[in-house]
Amino acid sequence: MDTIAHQNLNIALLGPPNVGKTSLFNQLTGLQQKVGNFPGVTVEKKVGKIQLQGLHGQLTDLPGLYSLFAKSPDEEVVIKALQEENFDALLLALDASHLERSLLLAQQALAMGIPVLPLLNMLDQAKGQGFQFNTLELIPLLGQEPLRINARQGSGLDQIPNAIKQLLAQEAPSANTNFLTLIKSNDAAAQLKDSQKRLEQIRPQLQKARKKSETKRSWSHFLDQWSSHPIAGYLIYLTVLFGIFQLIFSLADWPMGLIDEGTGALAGFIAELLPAGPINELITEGIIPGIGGVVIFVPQIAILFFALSILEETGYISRVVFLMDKPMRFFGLSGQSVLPLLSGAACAIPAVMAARNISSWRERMATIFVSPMISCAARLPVYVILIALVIPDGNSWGFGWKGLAMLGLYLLGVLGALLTGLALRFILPKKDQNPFVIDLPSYKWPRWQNVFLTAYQKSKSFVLEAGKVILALSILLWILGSYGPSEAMQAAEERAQKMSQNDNELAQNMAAEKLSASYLGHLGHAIEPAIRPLGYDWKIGIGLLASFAAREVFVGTMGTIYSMGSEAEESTLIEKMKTERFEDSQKAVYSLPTGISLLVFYVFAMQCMSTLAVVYKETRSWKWPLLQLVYMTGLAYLLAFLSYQLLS
Amino acid sequence: MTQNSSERRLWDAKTGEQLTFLRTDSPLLSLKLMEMGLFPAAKFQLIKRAPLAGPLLLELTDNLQQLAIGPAEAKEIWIQ
Repeated sequence: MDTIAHQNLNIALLGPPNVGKTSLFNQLTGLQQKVGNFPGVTVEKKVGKIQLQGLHGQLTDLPGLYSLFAKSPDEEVVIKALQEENFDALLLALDASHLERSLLLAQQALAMGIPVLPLLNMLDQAKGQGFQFNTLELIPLLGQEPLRINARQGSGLDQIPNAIKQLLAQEAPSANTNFLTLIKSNDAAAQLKDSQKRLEQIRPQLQKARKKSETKRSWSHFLDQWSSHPIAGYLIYLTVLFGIFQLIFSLADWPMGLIDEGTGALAGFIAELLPAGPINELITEGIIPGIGGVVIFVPQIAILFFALSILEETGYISRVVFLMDKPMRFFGLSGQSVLPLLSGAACAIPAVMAARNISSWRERMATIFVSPMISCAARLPVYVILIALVIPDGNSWGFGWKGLAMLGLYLLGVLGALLTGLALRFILPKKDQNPFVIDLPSYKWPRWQNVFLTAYQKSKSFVLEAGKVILALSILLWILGSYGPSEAMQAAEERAQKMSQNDNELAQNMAAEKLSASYLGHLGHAIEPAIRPLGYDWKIGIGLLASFAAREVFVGTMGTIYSMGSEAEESTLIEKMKTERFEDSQKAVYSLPTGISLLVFYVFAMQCMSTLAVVYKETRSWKWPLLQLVYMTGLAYLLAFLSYQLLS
Repeated sequence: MTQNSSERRLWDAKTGEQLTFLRTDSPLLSLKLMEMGLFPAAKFQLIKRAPLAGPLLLELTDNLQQLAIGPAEAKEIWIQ
């Protein structure tokens, strides 16, 4: 075969989970890789460039599976890719420590009609189990001797290019049409019969290829005594989670502050650089804060995925699934849902993204759906200001009422998430019939290149995909808040000038009057009849609409509405809000019933367009974010209404 | 299929028992177990049960591989 034939090769990497496929993919492609999705689904597709010893092309890392008889939508994607993507060759990673089951997958792969290059990995682990191999004896099963590799250390990989060239020089194997029909049939009994037949061929040959001496227990087994222990296991898990949240809160705080200050400084610099006018305002008040609103989440996302990737690489995640599965299953979720849900306490965005690791479609969708109900860090400023406004000082049995109120809000969110999950258990169809059988791989040290690459790729995909939607919505909200009917805006300017004694007052009054006269202000007035039963006036209505961009915007918007400037001191704003009265009844706006109603509204309402954008990105459909928006806002409205009516 | 008197369901086994996998009630579960490395006649130990009647943890004697099996599935698995 000539050299030209070794250009633009389309190669796929196939293998079971935990076989070291990610390490192999990273070793072969380096940093030249792109992460996306398989067409029409949310299954991650990693494609990288390979340039090895005259061999050029792309390598697709297929999601790990144990068999080509698909039992979940994710596995169906792999089968579809194998049938439709015209791969020139398959790199098949075999797990030497579980060779019997790997050979079953290998036999199936060989029936697909694609040239297969078998790679025998995990030999060090197999050695620990007391296995020794004569790989020549595997030729009758694989058609060739598998290459011995160590994907983590990169050894043996230099043999791959020549082996591929030799493979491509041979005649392409023909597909087994009976097997291809069986794959599509979903007939478990027939598939079982086929696997039993293959196993009958595998077992005697494997006995010749593999010799066994004494099995040594590794440090992994020692760790397992504790990490999946019925009591110690939960304590260890809680400690791990606490550690992750500490990392997210403490480490992300500094870069987030820097990004916030940086975008503010950039907006200030550009505002002075460009001539005053609508373009200047669009860039400095719409586009730059919009971009800042996307980038500010990157530190949290990167840290969470860095930590998650370590847990995944070490093999700890499957222990968590073992421990947490039963209690979570009652609420329509799974053991794999715990980490995303707890991540939601920092931010719903990484929580929704972390749900990708959940293998069952129904449980993944339920987790994505309920994650935003867990009170995130962005709700905190809103809780703080409203609690300070309406909850009196005092304590019961040594517990301060304000602290109890805060705890109550967090628990209310958790309760809402669990009960919604329970309801979804009966509503969402079970799309996969995959029995609950999971492998608990031996503990391994994480490979840092994999960990950093995962954190980098997740952050990049968030900025590039969700970022576009967030930016567009930020600009739309800015336009609605900055422009209004010309007569109303003119009148607002005149009112502000009449009210003001000095430049500082003029700036504050101008911002408040203009916001009130803007399209957003008009919307606030328009929704007042609908929100009045909840105890809100039109000014709160503007706050609710503006904080659709992000919940914490509520505080800044209130500052602007009450002519405090958006940088208002919290204590001054609270004083101003306390004196606020309804225009008709002259009753205090921020009474206990209104405050509680507003707090309950913020616990449940989907006031975060960034989360909606990420849900769209993760589900590849507007159906889910729109359902979430309608359900959560509806629930928030209903519960806020009940709270207000019962307390007033 | 005739049942030997010592045959039981996995769910009824005690923690720490050495067991032999016989069969399951469902072809899909048999297929899944085979693909995951639990083959007929394989010997294993039931090493743990998750709290609240959760999944069971098995360790295969041959290679010390650990498999977690859901409660519903454990009730469909026959062992000796």
